[in-house]
Amino acid sequence: MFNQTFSADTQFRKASAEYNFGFLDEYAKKEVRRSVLKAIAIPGYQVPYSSREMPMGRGFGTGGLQLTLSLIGKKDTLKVIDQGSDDSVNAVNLRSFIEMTCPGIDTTTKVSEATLIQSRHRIPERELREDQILVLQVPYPDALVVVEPSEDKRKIMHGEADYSRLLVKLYEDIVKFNEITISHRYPTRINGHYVIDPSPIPRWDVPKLNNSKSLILLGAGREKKIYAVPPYTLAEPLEFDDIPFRVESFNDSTGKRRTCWRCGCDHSFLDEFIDAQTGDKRYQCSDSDYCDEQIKSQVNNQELEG
Amino acid sequence: MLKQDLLGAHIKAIWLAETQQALFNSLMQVMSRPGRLDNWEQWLENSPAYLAVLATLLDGEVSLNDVHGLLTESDWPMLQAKKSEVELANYLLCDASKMVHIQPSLGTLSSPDFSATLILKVAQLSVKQGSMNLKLTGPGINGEAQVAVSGMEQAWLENRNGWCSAFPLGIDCILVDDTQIMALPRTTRVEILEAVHNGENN
Ligand SMILES: [Zn+2]
Repeated sequence: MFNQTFSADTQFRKASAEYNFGFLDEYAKKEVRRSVLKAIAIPGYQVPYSSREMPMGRGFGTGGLQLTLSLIGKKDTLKVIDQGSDDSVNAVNLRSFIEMTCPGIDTTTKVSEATLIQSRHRIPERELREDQILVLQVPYPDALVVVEPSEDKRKIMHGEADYSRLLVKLYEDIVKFNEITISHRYPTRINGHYVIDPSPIPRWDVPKLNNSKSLILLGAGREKKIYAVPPYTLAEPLEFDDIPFRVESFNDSTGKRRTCWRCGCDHSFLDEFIDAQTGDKRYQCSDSDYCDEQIKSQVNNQELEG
Repeated sequence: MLKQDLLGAHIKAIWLAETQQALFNSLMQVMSRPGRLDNWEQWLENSPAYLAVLATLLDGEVSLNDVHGLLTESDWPMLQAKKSEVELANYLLCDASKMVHIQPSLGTLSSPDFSATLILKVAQLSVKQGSMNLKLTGPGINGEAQVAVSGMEQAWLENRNGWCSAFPLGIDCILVDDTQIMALPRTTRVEILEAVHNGENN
């Protein structure tokens, strides 16, 4: 009798101790999911949630990871991007962790094949579709933190859509340097109310938030916040009548648009490299999947022509 | 298709983690795209769609008020949700064919997420014509969307529009018929195009 009870109990414990699909337990997932629905219903509002401990330090994309793990199912195809690349150490580590804890899912490096895309620092160059979901990793979720240290006060300012102090700060910086000095995390107003920190994406990617076909979710693990830019929603970078918002320029000193040395692309966000041997500057598409795709389509075109 | 839990008991699909993952993704899409109707028939196995919504979202951390007594006693332990007064409940389950005077929580300016989500049971949702045709605009909608709702007191929508008149305060609605689901987040502007009254006029 004792033995039977004992064995049933240990079996149950063993089954529970094995990782749940998606690593997080179902209660943690439900809390994230409830927060996601609120975030969609209140576009740009930072919904607090009780971020769980993950087997990696906060700041390594745990906010994005908890979103991904709460959404993903066996029918999903996942792409993980870090600064435009699928092959960096961070992207590889995150991807293998998700593959290990979510048996049955597919992964890809091709954005067109992905249903769920987790990214840090970039939004893919290719426009996302309605059936795709983008999860962005966020280190600092609150755009108001530069002007107001108290979270309670910031929450009231957000509720009232009072961004006058943020606008003054932004304007002063622009006047001082005669240029938009913010290269990443450009404050962006969602649906005419909340101003968000859109995560450390370059200004180049900010227009992609506007009227996006795909749902965009943002997760900050350390700060325990989830927020969203729903599809077909207004997303406007803060700007002034005399100083309009603009994206990074990739023109050289003669005003000619620089191109990717690898694929020749003249309309993507470029990373700058220094050639170790010659000391020359080189430019390459930051989005490596987009770069590969363009090379492939050129090869196909040449084959068709030849 | 009944499955067994660890202790060998048969449980319906809506209580399984794998089903809830699929249902949540549908729920997330309908909340993101007001006017979109998803059909949950393949997951329901005779469970009411409103119960599937609650099963997907609720646990012991949140509270529910079953305004019109749609649930059975045996549903409550499965849902684990706390019973609560209407004014304080995180979730309200309502029969939209019956109007009642309630005051759901609208949240606060600092914390608009401290607001109620209403699950409204209606007779029929359709993209074609119904007894009440709605024009929807706002975030998530590419231009405008039209849906038809039957078996819903117009007063529910009028109250809803009032509760949602001071963004970011408001409530979010999930509408269900027998098998279909759609959502009206607080940001959606709802215009009633025409209402055909069957039977008595009020
Ligand atoms: Zn390239």
